[in-house]
Amino acid sequence: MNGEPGNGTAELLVEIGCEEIPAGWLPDLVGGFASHLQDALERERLGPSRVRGLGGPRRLVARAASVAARQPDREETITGPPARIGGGPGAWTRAAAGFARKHGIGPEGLDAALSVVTTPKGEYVAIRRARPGRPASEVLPGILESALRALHFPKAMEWDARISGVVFPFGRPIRWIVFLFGGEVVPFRIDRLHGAPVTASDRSFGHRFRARGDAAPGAAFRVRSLAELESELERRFVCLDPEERARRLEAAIARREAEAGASRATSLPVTELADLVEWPGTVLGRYPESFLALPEEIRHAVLVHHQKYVPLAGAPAFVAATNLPDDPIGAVRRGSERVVLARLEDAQFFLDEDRRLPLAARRDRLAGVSFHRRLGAFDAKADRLEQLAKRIAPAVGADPAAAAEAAGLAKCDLVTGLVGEFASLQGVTGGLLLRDEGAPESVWRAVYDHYRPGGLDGDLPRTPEGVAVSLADSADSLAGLTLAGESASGGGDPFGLRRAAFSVIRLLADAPGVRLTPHRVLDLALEGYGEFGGPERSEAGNRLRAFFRDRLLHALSRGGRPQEARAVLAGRVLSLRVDDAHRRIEALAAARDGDDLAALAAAATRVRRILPPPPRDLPAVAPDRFSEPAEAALHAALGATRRQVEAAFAASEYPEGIAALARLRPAVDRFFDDVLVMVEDERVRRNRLALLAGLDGLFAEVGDLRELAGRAPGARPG
Amino acid sequence: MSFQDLIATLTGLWARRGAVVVQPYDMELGAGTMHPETFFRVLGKEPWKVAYVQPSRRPADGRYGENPNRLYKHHQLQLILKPAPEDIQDLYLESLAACGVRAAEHDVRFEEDNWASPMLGAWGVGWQVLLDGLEISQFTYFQQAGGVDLSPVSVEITYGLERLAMYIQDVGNVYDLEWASGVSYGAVRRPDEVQSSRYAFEAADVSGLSRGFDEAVAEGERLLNDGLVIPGYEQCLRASHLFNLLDARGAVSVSDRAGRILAVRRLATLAAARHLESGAA
Repeated sequence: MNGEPGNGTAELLVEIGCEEIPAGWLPDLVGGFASHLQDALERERLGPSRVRGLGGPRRLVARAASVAARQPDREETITGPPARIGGGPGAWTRAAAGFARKHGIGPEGLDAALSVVTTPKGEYVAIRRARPGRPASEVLPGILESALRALHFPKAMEWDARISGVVFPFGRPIRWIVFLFGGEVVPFRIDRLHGAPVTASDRSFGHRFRARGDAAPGAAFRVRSLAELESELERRFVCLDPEERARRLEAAIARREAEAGASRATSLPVTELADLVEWPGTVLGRYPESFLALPEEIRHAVLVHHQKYVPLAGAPAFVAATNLPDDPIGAVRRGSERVVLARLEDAQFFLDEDRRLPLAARRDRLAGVSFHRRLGAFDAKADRLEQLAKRIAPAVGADPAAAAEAAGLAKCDLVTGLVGEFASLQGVTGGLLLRDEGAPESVWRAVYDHYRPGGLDGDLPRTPEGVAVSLADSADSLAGLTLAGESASGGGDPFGLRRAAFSVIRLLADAPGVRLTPHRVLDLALEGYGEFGGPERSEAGNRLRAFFRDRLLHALSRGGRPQEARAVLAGRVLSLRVDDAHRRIEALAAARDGDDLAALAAAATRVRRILPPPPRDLPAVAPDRFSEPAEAALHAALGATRRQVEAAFAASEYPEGIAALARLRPAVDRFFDDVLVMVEDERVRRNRLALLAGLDGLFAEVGDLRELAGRAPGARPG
Repeated sequence: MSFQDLIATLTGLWARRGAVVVQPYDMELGAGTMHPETFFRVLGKEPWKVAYVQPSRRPADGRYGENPNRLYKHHQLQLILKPAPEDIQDLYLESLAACGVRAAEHDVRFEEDNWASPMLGAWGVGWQVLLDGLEISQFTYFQQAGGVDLSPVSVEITYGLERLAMYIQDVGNVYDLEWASGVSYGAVRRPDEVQSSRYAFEAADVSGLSRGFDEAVAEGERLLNDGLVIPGYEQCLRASHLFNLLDARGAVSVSDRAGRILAVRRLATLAAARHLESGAA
């Protein structure tokens, strides 16, 4: 069943047994390990073989069902001196003989061994010889090493390990390795500076504490294949398949919901919970009903963010995922309830304390919370937000007075005990305290929501005032931090500039009733900093706009339409409203199914090549100077099309406008077929250039069509 | 198992496994990691095993003896094993068993929790150990201390003794723990908690603390430059504690914070470098 390693193919199985790998890393590691192994197998000509990745907190497993037992033989060609100095068959020179000798071929074997080959660089003397493939067992250790070294960890650790003498950092220490080809152990070793090496074997381990039947908890067992590993692990309370583990956890939580007669309050990523455990068990925990008086948001912060428990809606209960098939003495349930109770009591204590002082009275204390070293504290930020939100309000349909009031109070919860304890409750806490104080809904909701959307896909604030405060907050951070010289680069974005930019983009694109361009938002935010930045101010403004432009292009390119996004945004990225740009991009993308747009894109490129750079100083088109029928035809079509495009675009009917433009294609094609633009006669030439300049101007209404030249990229994912 | 039995059990166990058992450091420390037996021993190549209890002061966590879970001063049992043994997780689980925690009846989990101390220029990777959802230990593979990359890698295990004892004794309020037979934790410690909280939040002389901080930094630098590594490092510990007191009073201004942390880290870095130069490691 495992195949014969001597010939043909056999199963390859690797299990890397680790100390607990962080759950958040696991999906990428499981997938990465399999794909790196597959790449290495193909590179070493033992594939193609699909490698399947499995694993859990204590193991990464990869398996290929059929790996070649031997690399195929191949012919290799070693090139020597150029043919002009090496001679040819029957007439090999000393240079050729020297080359042959170097490769172990004597004078008598020259004709048999040497030939002349043609390469891209010319003709060369060459030796062609068969190179036998190596057995898989010799090649596999190198393959595993390269796959392990290719794994990327968000934070790798030094653990005094070496492979082949070279330092080998990893995510967590490796404790055992199963490495089998056709059921036989492939030699592999990780050396340790101190203590015994980790050596490949056929011995694996199950759950630390539990096992079924005659299997002993924690003891090693032998395996020969993936099928055996899976079934033996199942007996030892390890579910190896992450998807299956998530399914079982999902079902287990559903059973607890039925038991409690309540359903999940928030959608927790069950897959991440499932990657915290080897065996997905659950307990149903309860807490005193009196805590239902605590706002739900706070209860959920306790349960979800601190304990990774699943809160149930409307019931004083939660489901905890456990790493156990059962809870034999009820200790797990009682323990989880005890922790939750202590946390809820803490939260209640902080809330009661925080309620003693009105939120507005905390504004002065913001002077003690730093926003940024060069930008001062949050009291100054609150002042700026107040002004900025007031100015933004009319353009987002918000009441300026309510938006300003909310903006001034939005950061006050940074000095509450609740936020000190539960950072995830920023905004929410302020909103809840204001609601308790009897603040108008437009104000408390705006404070509550002002951290939304927090990126391109988050939920939007629910009120226009919330939109105003959120926009003000993100735009103020972008402007100020850029003025202070901060930036996002590579993987690093310590101040969350990208997130802030994406939040602004999402708000401008999707919040109802927003009528603001990015340009305007950024300018207003920059104005909030007065003369801060001094002489570097305008340079910083340019950096801010360039950064935002990149983020906007990225955001609008999503769905596989980078060309359309570049076309629409060309030259006016920040002055188009984002929702408007989005509709234009959609229309352009829809129109790319036909050939007409591609043809016009080619024409646009051609037109730009012919036209002199601006300022062009061309005369108005004079129809009496047309000598070719195609000129007059294009002129007429251009006029009619321009009216249609302008009317459609003015009504934001972009598909209609673009369809009208597409209908121009025959006239454009005919013009380029029949008419030579760059003729000797200057007046004719300039008249024709003027006609093309008009065409160019019409194209520009739609965007820079040159971006669409070439074939549309295939539907690439993401 | 009483609080003192718990301490005796764990220290006895690790002593039998070859650890040198030392006493708490006789200065105010924020955590067992700051004890010279950790800070200096993890540097350099020499193998070392050490265990000790360290009363650890967190002035900002003081609650006047009224909160059932928070303390101005709690107790850590600190263990350093260098190099980290390959079966360290099993050894740790055996130590829980010795305290009466039967793993098969509980949910014992190692969940990612990395540790970093900006003041000590130190960081490591590891887990918090959860016992039925309750954090009872920190488990860290040291990667850097005093700004120095570490090899061999030491493992540090910090048992939160109050938490562990509360679990084992099944009590919900730390002051109800049995310290010794018939003697409660509250009887032993509550006056200290009440008075220390009053000191930290109300009575401490801010300008005196601030002056003390500056003096400690200057004195530490002088001593370290004179090659007096441990006395110099003690000034680093003193500065760190004074910083925590100032912080609890809300007396560290924003512009101050980064500078003061950096000043303490400079001392720690200097101490680590001097220690290694001296060849003591």
